[in-house]
Amino acid sequence: MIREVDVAVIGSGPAGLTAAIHAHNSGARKVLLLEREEELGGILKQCIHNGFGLEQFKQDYTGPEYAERLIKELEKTGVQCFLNTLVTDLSSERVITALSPEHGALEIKAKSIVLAMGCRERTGPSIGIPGTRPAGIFTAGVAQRFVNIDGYLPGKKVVILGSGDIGLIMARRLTLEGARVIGVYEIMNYPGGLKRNIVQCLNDFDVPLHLSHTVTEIRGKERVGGVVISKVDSSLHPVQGTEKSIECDTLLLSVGLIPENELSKKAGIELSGATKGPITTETMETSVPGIFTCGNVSAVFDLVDYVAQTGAAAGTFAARYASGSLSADRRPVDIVAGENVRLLFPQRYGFQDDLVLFIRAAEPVEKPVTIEVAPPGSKINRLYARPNEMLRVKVPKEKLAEAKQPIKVSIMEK
Amino acid sequence: MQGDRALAREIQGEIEKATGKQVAVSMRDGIAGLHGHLPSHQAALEAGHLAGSSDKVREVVNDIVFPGKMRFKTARKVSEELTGREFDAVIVGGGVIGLAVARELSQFNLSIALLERHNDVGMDQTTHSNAMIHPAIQAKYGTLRWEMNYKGNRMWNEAARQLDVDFKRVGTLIVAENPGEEALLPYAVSVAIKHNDPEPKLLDRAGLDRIEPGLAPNIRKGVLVWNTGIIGVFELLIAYAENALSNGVSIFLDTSVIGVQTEGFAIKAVDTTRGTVRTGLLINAAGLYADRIAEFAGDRFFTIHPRKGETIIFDKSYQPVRTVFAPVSIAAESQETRYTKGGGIIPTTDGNLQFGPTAMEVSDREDVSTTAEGCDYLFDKFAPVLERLKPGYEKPDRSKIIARFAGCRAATYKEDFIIEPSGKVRGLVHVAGIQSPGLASAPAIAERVREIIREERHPSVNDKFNPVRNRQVRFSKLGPKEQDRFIRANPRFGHIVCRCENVSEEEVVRALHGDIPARSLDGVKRRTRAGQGRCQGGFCTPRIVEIASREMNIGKEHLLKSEGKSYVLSGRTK
Repeated sequence: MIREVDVAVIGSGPAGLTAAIHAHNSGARKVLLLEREEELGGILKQCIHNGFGLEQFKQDYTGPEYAERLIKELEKTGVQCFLNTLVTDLSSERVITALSPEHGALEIKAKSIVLAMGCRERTGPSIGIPGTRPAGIFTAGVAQRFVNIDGYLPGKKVVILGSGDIGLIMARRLTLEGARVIGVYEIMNYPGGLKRNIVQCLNDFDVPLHLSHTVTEIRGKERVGGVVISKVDSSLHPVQGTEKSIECDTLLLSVGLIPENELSKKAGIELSGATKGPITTETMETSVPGIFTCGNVSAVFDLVDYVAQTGAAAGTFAARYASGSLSADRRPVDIVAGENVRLLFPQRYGFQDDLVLFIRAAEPVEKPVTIEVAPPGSKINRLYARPNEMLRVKVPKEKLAEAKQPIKVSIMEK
Repeated sequence: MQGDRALAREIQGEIEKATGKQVAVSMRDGIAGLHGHLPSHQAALEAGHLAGSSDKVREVVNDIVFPGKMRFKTARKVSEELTGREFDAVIVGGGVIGLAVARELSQFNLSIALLERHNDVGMDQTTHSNAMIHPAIQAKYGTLRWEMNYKGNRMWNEAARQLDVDFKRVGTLIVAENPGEEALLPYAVSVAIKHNDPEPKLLDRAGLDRIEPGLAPNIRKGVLVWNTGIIGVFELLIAYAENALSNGVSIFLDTSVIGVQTEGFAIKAVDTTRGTVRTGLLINAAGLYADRIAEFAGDRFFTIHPRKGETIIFDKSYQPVRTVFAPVSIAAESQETRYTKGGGIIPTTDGNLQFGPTAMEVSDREDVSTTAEGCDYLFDKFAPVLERLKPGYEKPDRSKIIARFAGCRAATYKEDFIIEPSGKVRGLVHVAGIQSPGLASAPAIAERVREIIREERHPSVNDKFNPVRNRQVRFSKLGPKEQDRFIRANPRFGHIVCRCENVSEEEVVRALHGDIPARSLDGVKRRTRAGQGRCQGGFCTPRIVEIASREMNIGKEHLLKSEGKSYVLSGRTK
């Protein structure tokens, strides 16, 4: 049976929930939210630490509290939710194929679609750690789920590779649960996670952070018995003779997140090599008309507030697309990375709204910087630029009326 | 005797010349025995290979001691539950060879037990193989390995159909990059024909485009050795085991052999970690430990030297080739350097491309660790080949590697298979030294063992033998209508627990309750593919832990990743 809806949202984490609410509030009549798990909320459910919603709600929520607030808001809208429903296919004609114990094999035809599938964690093999393949190797997010949802400890003596935020959060969480976290080892010469997490999760618990270090071997046959740590040189290659053997029973990997774009690829959506997510305009519309994107499936964001902000835009414009009121009278222009910009989002400007740019610096600059958006030549000042802390700048629509192809974004020392 | 002594002296001299050290060499019945000390594993290996390279030496027992040499550990006895049981035949080793032999022998009216030391079948060589059914072109002509290879290769269409296992003859494609290499292609054809690979085909560009589209413009000619196959090797292991079970074979997992009892040079009983089993017929298919079993039985005439092979596997989104892809430069090289390096570009039935395996002699038979060098070697060797010869395709990228694994081949110093009744002990049959291409050879090896048993024991034929086995449904392979029907009948099919491979809860439940049930997360993974995709278990692990703990009725902290002490979780939180 084919179901028809106005807006279908895939994923019910912070991005999807916000998008669904905004789609409804923007006038979409039939909004359907698809979630593969048995509850709404996505990864927020296992993020029991605080720091969520500071900007959006001016409140310091835990992940579940933040999700709860959005879910309550969603419940008021009457948006229909299919839980335990896994989307297996997506076409450029906006037909969704999904499976669910309750609804069987589903086909959904939507006037517009919002992608909110989030991201997945990079794993050990993909970054190539030699050695054995014993039990006791977890990505930080899986360990977080075991501890916070299932109530089980992944191990007792833990080495963490990578200083992404989930790894930092887990260093604190595991310490509080009585495990010994021997150290966090980061291959780059700057941390991957937010400053506040370094302070609150490592420094406050005396967990050392070793920059320019990596794991070069995993030991142990059945369960992890230890790892070998090496220093790396400026080209990130292990330095011979710096190997140090560390006894541990668990290796946690917090080595990056990858937007989950298998469905986007099936729909033929153009992806960005930098963000690994769909190329979008400020309306969050992808290269396939009527398919919008938001949150971590688009680009990995540092803060849930940023995720929600893209969700709001995607929901709003998806509703307008569904009702046929989204005009496309001007050809979008490209937004390209200039000096010291590793990635930016969105990558196009479609003259529909203010441009909110999310920018990640390529190299840290620990002094005041100017972010230049040219043309039109807007200059925005910031106190510093760090690769681990996304910069967000807003350029009003009026200023962009005369924007020419391409808009170039640069981070310059002041 | 005179000749033996002279040969021993000759070998001794060669070893001294190569290593600068003296070792003791004995010759008896064509078996070279090496004793003494050498300064390194490498030197001890060299001594073994030197002895093995003599045409007059039938096999080599290498007892040379070197620093770091591993000693055999004898497993601890855990119970007496098998004591008092008696079987007509006992097969030691539940790899593809032991299982194929078990199934083959179940055509007779024999009571058969198969003993496997691991908690699942095929955990050593078979699961670490590249799931390839080799053509015979690369086997050394005239050896038993070659004979089993070409005979086995021909049997897979029928075997795979009976066992309901994915099998596809993708072919090995040898392509020439320049006129010089083109001149070598007729030679490749003649080698293939000589080795009994049927009808190798010399292809022009149009022919190449049909088999392997998108080749570089400079490639004008190639040879297709079409009988190369790829097979679903995990499914195959389960299939063999299930079919053997349904034909009356008893399979005992977690059961190590710790001794063999003989009486008047005849097999009497097998001592295991679960008690003593009486039998008059012992089939030694113990793979990496076949020499240990031979020693237990009092007929040690070969030594297994483990040769590790590492493989890297790519994400399904990177599928640049359809064939086992071998440019002349690589095809020629693998002939020459097969003891040191090697490897190939090999697709799998699941769509994941492999580079591998390497070949490195190691001293530890349990060494399944991967190395930075192995991965670099494979990637740096094969990635440029694909970049050069499949220029239109996406560039090979290390970030697409989703897994790396390694396993040891159970080689003897003659580098040949040993499939024969013992010359010393009645009721003992060796199926040893089965290294690559053991998988391709498995049906032929099983048949040969069957004929040995038929001649020796004259067993009557089991009229009820049924060679057919049907696999569990693979939900992801069904069409939408069928999927809908399955979910309506059983909603657990609609609950997808592995989103990379689209594996349903019901499939996991069935894997945990099969005839050869999964007893670990890896066991579930091998049976269902849950966790074999690009996220490598990131999504499904907590879900499989949940389901397995429920279905096995054990606490999550008792669940294993593989076996032994491979606990997934260390305990409950505070």
